[in-house]
Amino acid sequence: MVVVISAMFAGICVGYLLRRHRLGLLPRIIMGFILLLLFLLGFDIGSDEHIIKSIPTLGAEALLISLLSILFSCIAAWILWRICGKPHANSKEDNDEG
Amino acid sequence: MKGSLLITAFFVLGVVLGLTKLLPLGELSQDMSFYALAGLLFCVGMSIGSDFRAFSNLKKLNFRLLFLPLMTIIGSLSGAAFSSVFIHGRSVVDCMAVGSGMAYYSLSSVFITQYKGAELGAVALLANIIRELGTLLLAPLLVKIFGNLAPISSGGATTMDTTLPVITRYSGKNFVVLSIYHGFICDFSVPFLVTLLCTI
Repeated sequence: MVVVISAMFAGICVGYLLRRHRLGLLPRIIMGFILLLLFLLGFDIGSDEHIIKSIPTLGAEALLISLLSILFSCIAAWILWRICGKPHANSKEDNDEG
Repeated sequence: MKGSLLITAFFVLGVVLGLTKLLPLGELSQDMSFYALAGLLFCVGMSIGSDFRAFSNLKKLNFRLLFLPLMTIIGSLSGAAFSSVFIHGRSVVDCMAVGSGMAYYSLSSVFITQYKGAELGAVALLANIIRELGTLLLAPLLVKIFGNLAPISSGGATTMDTTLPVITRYSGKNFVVLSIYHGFICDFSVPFLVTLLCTI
């Protein structure tokens, strides 16, 4: 995994050097990799009978984890919202919009 | 939305081909995953490196709001940890690894598949897709109950792209810069958090 993380940092450096250029093709390449990877994930899942049999259970687990993550994130955001005194996001808002 | 459909289509195609065993990939699929993942992260890095718009307007933000991504991460991890109480046969850390995807379903599911196998990878994919959809659907409700920051926290790593329109609509235009900054930081944190949680 060190390789993978290093690849990201290498990418950040290259991206920063090329920041003056339009990288119009990049989102499509990213999408291509994502599609390939999800195809392969699907393939791994499809080839594994044990996983296929337990899809309903896995779905229920996923639903529970995601709903509780949303709920707790929102509570955390609410705490910050109270700490900040329900602010407008831009503290210099008057200058910007006036 | 078109992107999500395409992603689902490719995933389903993979499942079908896996089921029928028509495609003799076997071990090769693991190797391909690894190189594709490295290529993906290189490209993601490039897009981050070339696009610092998230930081150009940050000076205008209320200083304390810069901690929002941290609140999101803490909330996501604690929520996922709590869910392990109700799930038999999954460790706290496994659930936290799934939760740490913060709606970045493509990257987190692929990472988790590499570390923990396709079963938890499938849970991560579903959980994080549900989180993105949930944010899109629940945004107005979340604003009412938890305040204007809630849809941003709920959206996790997607608040700079897919969920930005609903956040703009229900939290207000004043939160666009915060939302992009938040998505940027969460996006960036996902590979590290998932790696950390999978190697504990």
